[in-house]
Amino acid sequence: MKLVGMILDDSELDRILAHAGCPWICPKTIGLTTHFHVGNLPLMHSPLQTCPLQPKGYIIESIGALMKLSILMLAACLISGVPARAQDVFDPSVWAQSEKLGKDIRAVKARAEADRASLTESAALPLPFAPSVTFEIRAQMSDDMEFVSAIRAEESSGLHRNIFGSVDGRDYLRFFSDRIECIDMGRCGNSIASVACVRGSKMVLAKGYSLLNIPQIARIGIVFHEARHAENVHDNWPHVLCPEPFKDDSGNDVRGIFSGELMAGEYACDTTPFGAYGTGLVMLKNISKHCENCTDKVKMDAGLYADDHLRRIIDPAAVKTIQDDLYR
Amino acid sequence: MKRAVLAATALGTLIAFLSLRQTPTPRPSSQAELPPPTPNRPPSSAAGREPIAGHPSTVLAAAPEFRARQIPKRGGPRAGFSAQTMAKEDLLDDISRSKNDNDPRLDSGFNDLSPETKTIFRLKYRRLPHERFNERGTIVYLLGKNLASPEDWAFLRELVVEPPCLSLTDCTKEDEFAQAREKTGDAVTLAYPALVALKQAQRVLEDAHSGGADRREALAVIRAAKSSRAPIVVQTAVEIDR
Repeated sequence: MKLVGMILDDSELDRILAHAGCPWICPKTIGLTTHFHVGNLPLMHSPLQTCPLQPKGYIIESIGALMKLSILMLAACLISGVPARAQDVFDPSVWAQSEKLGKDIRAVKARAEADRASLTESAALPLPFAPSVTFEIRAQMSDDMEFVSAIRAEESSGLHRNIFGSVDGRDYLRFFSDRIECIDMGRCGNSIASVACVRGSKMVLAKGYSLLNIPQIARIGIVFHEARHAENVHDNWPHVLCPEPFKDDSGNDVRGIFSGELMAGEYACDTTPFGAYGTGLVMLKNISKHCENCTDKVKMDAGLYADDHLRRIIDPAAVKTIQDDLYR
Repeated sequence: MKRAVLAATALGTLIAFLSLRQTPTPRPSSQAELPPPTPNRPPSSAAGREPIAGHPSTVLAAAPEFRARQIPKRGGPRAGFSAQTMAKEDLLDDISRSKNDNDPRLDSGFNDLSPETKTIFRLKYRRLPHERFNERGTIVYLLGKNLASPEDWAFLRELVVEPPCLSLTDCTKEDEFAQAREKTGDAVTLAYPALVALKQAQRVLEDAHSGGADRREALAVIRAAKSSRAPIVVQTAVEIDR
């Protein structure tokens, strides 16, 4: 099969990649270097099978899309070396564009590796965004995680060392990347106010993540709360039903703040310090108490949201463990 | 009569000033003498990240107050206000645009605010849409670092009894997801400015150097918060009071 044609404009490429979805760049790899296995559609076994990457198939929406994808795939092959005979089956223009793209990618990768090697202090994480994630959300989350990556503290609580390690951005990013292999965009419930959720090891961000005007540490707390839910080995740390009746310290029913609905009987509580609320609480409270390069506002915000999480831990022994660890 | 005319003129100037200066267009900070923001990117890198106008789900961007904001021109007339006040407001706008709460200028750039600057900040707070939770809370935070006059304390008392915000996207309307949001910690966000006011009052109470008058004012804020219609504000006030 001989490919001919020219590269389509970027908007069509974006549409194709968005349609193809997360597998194009997930897990782990950003860019065009690996994992070109899209769905289960072996629509074409092309000469690209000679490529060491062995692409399995791809969605073809138009002949133009096919050409574009072929160029991308070939470029990917060129990164790790493609048999010379493959050149014979491609149109020279396709080959040339792929070769140039491959060189560009190699250069980008080399720069990225050099950058990573020099990042001893701020262990920046290349976030595994799916193509469908909007610029606004990528930028917001990248900024947020850049902030997280720079967090430093000398002290940490016992629970924090158990869950994350040190109060240190590098440990936070390790925690995150060990659990989340892909960040995609979608809906988490039907509300714009729901900004994140997880499906397996994929984190889904909703538009509200960048649109809502909320404190930065609140966004970060949500993301790490959700990352905890991605742990299959613990059955994703499910929430438990809040007790009926669910009373606060003053003996009043705990109700939805404005809906007036009782929280009792809702899956909005945890019984362990190690669940998603506990994880968020431990992270935020440690930042509030120990972060050495956070502003006072960040520390105040972290304390506010941590205290709210504590109200959702309903097991007395778990509450005591947390209080002994963080509130004494 | 003459005083009334002067007062009216001053008020008109103030309103005109604020209408010109309500938020954001990306522009460089005028605070060159202040340290750059870390560890996040400098605010200028946030350019282009405002909500996309016309996007169907851009609820906040579609708010009338948001659309109505004018782009202030650098060097344009801001008659009647000190250079310090203008610089502080520029700095605040810069940080708000960046969405970087870890900008060290929040710690260093807003100490010893003048009465004029605080007045401008209070007006700015009142003009912001209630759904700009973090921007409003940041103003309260900064004013809470500069509590000196009865007006400063009165403002905090006013905040803690603000009518509850009903939803993250429209404070005037409760949506069908109100109950679901209760599960995700949004109660804190919805009452964020009031909670910040309480935390600033708590800070005064916990500061061994606070004088008796300040302590009384701080306690008055806590007492006022107990009559809030937002349960989390009441609960937080009770916890601080303990």
